[in-house]
Amino acid sequence: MADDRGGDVIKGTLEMIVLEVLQAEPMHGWGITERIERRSDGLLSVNQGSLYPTLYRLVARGWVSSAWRTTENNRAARYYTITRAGRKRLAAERAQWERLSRGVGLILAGVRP
Amino acid sequence: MSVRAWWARVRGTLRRRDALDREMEREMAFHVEMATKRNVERGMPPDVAARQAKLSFGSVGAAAEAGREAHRALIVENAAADVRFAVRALRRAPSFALATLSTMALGIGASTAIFAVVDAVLLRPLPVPQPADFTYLGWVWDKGDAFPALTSLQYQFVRDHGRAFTAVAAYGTRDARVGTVPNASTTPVRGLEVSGDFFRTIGFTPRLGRAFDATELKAGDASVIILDDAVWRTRFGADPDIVGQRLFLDREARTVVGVMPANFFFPPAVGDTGFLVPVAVHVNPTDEGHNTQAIARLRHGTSDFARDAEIGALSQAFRAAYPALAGAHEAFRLYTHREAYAGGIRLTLWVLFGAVSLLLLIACANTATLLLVRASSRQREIAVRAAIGAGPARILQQLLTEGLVLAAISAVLGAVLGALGLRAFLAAAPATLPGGLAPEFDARILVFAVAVCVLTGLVFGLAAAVPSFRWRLASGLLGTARGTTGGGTRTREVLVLVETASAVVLLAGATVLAASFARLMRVDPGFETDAVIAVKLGPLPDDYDAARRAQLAGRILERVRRLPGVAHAATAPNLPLERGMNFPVDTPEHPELGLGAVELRFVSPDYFATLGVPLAGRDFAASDGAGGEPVAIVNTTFAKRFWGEAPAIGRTIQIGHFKDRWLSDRLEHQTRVIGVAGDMREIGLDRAPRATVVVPWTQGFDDRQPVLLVRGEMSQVAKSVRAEVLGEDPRLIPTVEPLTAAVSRNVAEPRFRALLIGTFAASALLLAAIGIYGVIAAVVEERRREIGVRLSLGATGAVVALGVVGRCLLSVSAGAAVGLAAFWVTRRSLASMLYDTSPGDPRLLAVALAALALVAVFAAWVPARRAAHLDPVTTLRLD
Repeated sequence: MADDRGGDVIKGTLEMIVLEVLQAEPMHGWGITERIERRSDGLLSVNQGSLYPTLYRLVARGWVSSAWRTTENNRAARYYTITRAGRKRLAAERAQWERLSRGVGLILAGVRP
Repeated sequence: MSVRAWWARVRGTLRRRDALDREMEREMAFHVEMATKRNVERGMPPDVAARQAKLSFGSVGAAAEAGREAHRALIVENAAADVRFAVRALRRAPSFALATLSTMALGIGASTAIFAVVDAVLLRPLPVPQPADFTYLGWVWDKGDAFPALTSLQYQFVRDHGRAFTAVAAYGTRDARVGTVPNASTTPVRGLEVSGDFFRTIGFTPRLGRAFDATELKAGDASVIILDDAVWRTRFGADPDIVGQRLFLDREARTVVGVMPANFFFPPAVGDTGFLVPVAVHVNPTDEGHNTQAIARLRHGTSDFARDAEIGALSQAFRAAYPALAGAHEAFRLYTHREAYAGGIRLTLWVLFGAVSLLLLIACANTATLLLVRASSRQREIAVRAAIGAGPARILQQLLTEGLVLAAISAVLGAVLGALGLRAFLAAAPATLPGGLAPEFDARILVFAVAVCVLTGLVFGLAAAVPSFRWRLASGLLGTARGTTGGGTRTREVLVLVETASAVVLLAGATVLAASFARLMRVDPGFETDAVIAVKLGPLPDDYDAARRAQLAGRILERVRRLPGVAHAATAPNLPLERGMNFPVDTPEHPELGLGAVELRFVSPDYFATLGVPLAGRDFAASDGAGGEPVAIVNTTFAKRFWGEAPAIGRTIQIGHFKDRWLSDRLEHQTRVIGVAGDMREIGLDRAPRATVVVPWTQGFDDRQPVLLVRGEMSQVAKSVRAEVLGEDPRLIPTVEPLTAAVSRNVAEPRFRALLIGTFAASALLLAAIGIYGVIAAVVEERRREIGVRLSLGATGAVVALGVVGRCLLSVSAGAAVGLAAFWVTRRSLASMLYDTSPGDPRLLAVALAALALVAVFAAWVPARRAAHLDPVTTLRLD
């Protein structure tokens, strides 16, 4: 099956980040942007042009489901919810990311065993 | 799929796409709106805030397109990847792919070919307008015999009094040359001679010109003709101005009044009907021969009950009007086309239909078995894929794709096999398929068979896949699933049972039919066929008048007798085993023993010597001429019937005398028996010889063209005989063939049946072998670890092999028992096709079972041997 692991790192990371944000609660696209900015202390800002394609891809793969709901301000917005497969996927990605970042961190720290 | 349905689907897809776009736009508008709101909260003026939000979002259109792209690409990508994956997986398992493909292709091919024939001959309605109202007319005699034809008097009676019908007609066939000059030198064409209300009965009218009018039909007008579409096209270049032109039918000048439409179909003609000419039915009340083929159209909407009542009343009226001609229980009868023409082959076709259904069942069971086996061998693969995040739907989609790829390939193979099979069937079939009902290779039938196979594949493929990611996810990965008997085992055993049972039914049927055929071939026909050739002179040019016709055969006979290499030569009215003439015969001392249907033959001297038939008494001589004393030779059966063991030579018989009445004044004389000949099986190898009387041809009254029988050196004689016939008249078109060919025509149908069912049985055996092999191979694969442990603990290979094979052979035995029982129940359906063979003959059933046992043991032995030779170390180290 199609799997673009090892392709575009940014894209892969964005998927993981979106899944992580959605793990807390179902959220609409705008809310996801806001939460990413807030939780990363403004270090990360998401390009909307890549956020929505990422969301649709996650939906198509069955990791995220979506439904129209009303916001607290009584506005209709599409809410995204993480699925069981999505949680599994997030766990796998997280593990991989932690290995990768520990490895990269060790190299950059210049520690020799 | 119809164009409309297709369009609806396309539109549905487009609509869904529209909806998707609208949702995306709404979602992005919401996003921009929220961004604007935040900018305002941060103190921007509203217009700047909105512009800023839009800028930071970028182009809505571009984002929507990117989103759409992601959506679309994934679906296509998945499907394409699935197909690629399926093909790769199948290539990695070539034996599985080959077994499944050949199974499905064989099942689809064989069943579509036979279904096409059954559909054409037995199921499809007759291609005439309103076929339900179309009927043939026949007659039932006192003893219940019936025949689909009438006497001329009965025909006239139905025409004048049959109130159940809106139209009644009669027809016959005629072979004639059609051309623009008299006696054109073209091959004769078969045409129809029609009378009565033919066109209204048949329901077709000419596409060009007109039908024959009532006067022409009544008078049998010999100056008009209607051409068939095919003849009009091939011989007259589809000339649109053909109507009104003059052409010649043999020597008769006729004006074309019409051309029939291309879909004109009239049943009894084998091949094309080239032309129609009107002919008058001459009613001769003393002619009791059922020689008028009559058809009728029932009043539309008549209930069966009302129709039967009217036919009953009509029969009663006929009996009342002609009490001398109809017994108390004789009656008119309606025949459907199939009853009238497909009689002989119907049973054969139903049996073939049953056989091919069994084959299709085996193919389905086999496909299912193979898929189950494959699924179980893929537990681990599926478990791994589920573990790395493939959802159930995704895995199902993948398995489904694999099934569809298999189905697509086997559908193509099956269609090719089916088309070839149908062609082979039609080539091998005896010429008893009713004319005009030519089977066509039909897409509907193909779709049906493919659908059956695909459905089987999908149902069992999925059934096998579902449990694999319910409970095998964990155990499959851990490898502990090995020693267990999974849910698939029971299903597999049932499938093996079904396959074996069906194969046994087919095998038993094939064995019985083959044995019957072998016995039939060993029957002594009572005459020698080996050194005899048969010569038919073909249609005579019609400048031959009666006198010339009578002399022709005699002159050729004289020429042939003088040829080197010819031992004997004679003429006969027909070849042995071809239909001859029946006549009533009795003796003056025993008229009560008289037979209504004695075989009567008019032959030349040397007839018995030519056929190698023993003869006591004297043969006919040249002196037994037209003016001499009437003499005859009878066969042993005839002599036994009338005189028992007493000598027959010198006795007197009465040809044409029956129930104290002479059939005609002309026949009113006594005939002396001068010889007794051996019995010949003349009406069929499988039928006992009938009482026969043979009369010198010079004293006979048969004006049909006789055939020549020549005994001698085959290779030398065949060519020179043909030369002599052409030497007599170069316009003759003789057919020269060995008499063995006529015999083999006579057994064509039993041979065909035995051959076809034999082929099915062989295929069934092969499929069953594949199924059994597959199951045992899977068992070995699943229990590899257990087997390794047992081997390493000291179990011998033989014990292990037996353990593996045991359960499967148990299912095979159970299947054989079920199959035998099923055959036993249905064996009666074969009885009427058998010659001197009991369908329940235990020796034959034992042969069938032995064949199955042999194949089953061999199919099991190969994987069992593998199990016995497993290396325990490798096996255990595998995990």
